[in-house]
Amino acid sequence: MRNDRLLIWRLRRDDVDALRQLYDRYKGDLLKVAVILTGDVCRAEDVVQDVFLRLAQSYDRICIRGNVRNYLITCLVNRTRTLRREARHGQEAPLDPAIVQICPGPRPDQWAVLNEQMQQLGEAMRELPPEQREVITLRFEAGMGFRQIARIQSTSVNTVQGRCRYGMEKLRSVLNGEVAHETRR
Amino acid sequence: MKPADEIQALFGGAKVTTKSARDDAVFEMIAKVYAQKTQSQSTPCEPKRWRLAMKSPIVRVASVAAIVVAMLWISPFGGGPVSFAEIVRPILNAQTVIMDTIVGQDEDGPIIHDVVKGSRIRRTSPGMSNVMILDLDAGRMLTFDPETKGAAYVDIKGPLQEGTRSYLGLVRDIVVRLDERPDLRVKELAQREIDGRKAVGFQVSEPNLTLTIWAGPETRLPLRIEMLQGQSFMIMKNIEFDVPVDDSLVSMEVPAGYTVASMEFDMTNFSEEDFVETLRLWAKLLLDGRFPEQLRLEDLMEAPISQEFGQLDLSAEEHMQLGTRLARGYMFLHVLAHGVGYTYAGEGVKLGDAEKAIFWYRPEGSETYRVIYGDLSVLDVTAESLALFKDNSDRQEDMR
Repeated sequence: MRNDRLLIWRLRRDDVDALRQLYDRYKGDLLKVAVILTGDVCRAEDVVQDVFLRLAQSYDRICIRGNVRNYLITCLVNRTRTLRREARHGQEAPLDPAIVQICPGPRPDQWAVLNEQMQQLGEAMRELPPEQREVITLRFEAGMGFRQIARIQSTSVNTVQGRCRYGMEKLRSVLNGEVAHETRR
Repeated sequence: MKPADEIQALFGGAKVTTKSARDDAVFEMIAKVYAQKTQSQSTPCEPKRWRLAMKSPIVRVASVAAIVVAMLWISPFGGGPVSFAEIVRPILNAQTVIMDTIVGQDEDGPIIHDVVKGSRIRRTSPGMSNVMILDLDAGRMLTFDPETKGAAYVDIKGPLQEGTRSYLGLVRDIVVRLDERPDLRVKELAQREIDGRKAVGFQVSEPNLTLTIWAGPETRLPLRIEMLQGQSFMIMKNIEFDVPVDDSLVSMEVPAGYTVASMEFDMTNFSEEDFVETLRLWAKLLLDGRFPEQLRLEDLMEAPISQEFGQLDLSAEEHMQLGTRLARGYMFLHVLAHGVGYTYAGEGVKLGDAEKAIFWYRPEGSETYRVIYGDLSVLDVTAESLALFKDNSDRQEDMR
């Protein structure tokens, strides 16, 4: 397996194989993050395609100083946030998982295949507000530090730490069935 | 289990796979956009940032030294049984070696391509047009840039010369010193696939160093060598032994048509003062007056630094001196990392902040610590006073 930086270097030299290798290497991770953030498999697939399309379009302008995976995840987070903002302004279909129509089952043309634990995680994460969902995902999936997440969210480290704490509490409650119980009640 | 561990485990077990038929369809769409983009490029697709890097003589020398320095401070050690010796025989006997070395983890580090013949090395790296020829016997390095037709000699006598030599000799030393270290054992690893080929692995460890060699079970030739020393990880791959190498490839003569810098550059010494200057340049030129998140070799090699330096109103020689200074500063850091260790707590601190300690280390044999503050003043501080910094800093990077 070649180094990611070498792949980016090759990408800048018209090497479509390098693009394919990056795609094969990260599509699964990105789909996972996208499903968690959007709560919707159909939308997640669109967002991941967008991220790769942007990489293909702007490879000559990107400057990756950390690891490529986290760079792509950050792009995905930004794209999801833009879609959410557009949805709020009525330009797009709603992205908030609280009101979004979840795909009822696998479509024949579905790209992503979720294991049981992924479905469980996706459902639990849908109960969290978008900001908390982002923090939890960047922390536990991308392994980012609070400062890094604070920069992505344009907020303070304290706020991020708070979001993480509340998000974890809520997630644990959901997983333990407490929230579902409260909701039913 | 802690709550964070529970959530981490949940994330770890959650997987998304893809249907291969859809994979191809989606990629086709992406590849189409990529093809349109590459066709619309009127200039060769060499990235701008690297082009700038090559035009800036400072980075040529800075990068060269930074790359070379990454190879420093490799200490020899020993270990193991017969089959391991069989695998390493080509390493012992080869007259020439060609290989790629990755500094850092597989996914992340800069790549260095070496052609080794005797005590000479021809070193290049993707993304950099300059070529380095190291003469380890003479302690000199020639660097030249085919794009700008500039060339310079760098004095690398001393630690840099020895560090580079020991990096090359490390694997040889392991085998040569097998008998001297009966306490060390070679561990046989489970077979795995390396670049699509089956490989058997052998690992030798001592407290500060782990070396793993993967080799083809049939060819008995090393495919990949992984080395972890302290915090530094290095991978050698695409290794070829005894490939004919023309002498001209490792010649220390400047090729015809190049302009040679009138002065030689000295990489023989480095000090705390060089490191302080490196910190100042890093914060001032790269990060709008704030200190970096981490002190990583890879970041020094990134091109933005060359873009910034390229804009400075300095002569070529002043540029090169600045680059030499930068590289010497990094050498100082590298030596600390592999010696007494250090702590970095400068992330986000503003250059000029006299209240915040950003870096400290205890020189060998000293009772006190050397502490560098945000205004780049340096003071000797007792261990008790140092405890206060630790409490006040929410982000520290310990390198020990």
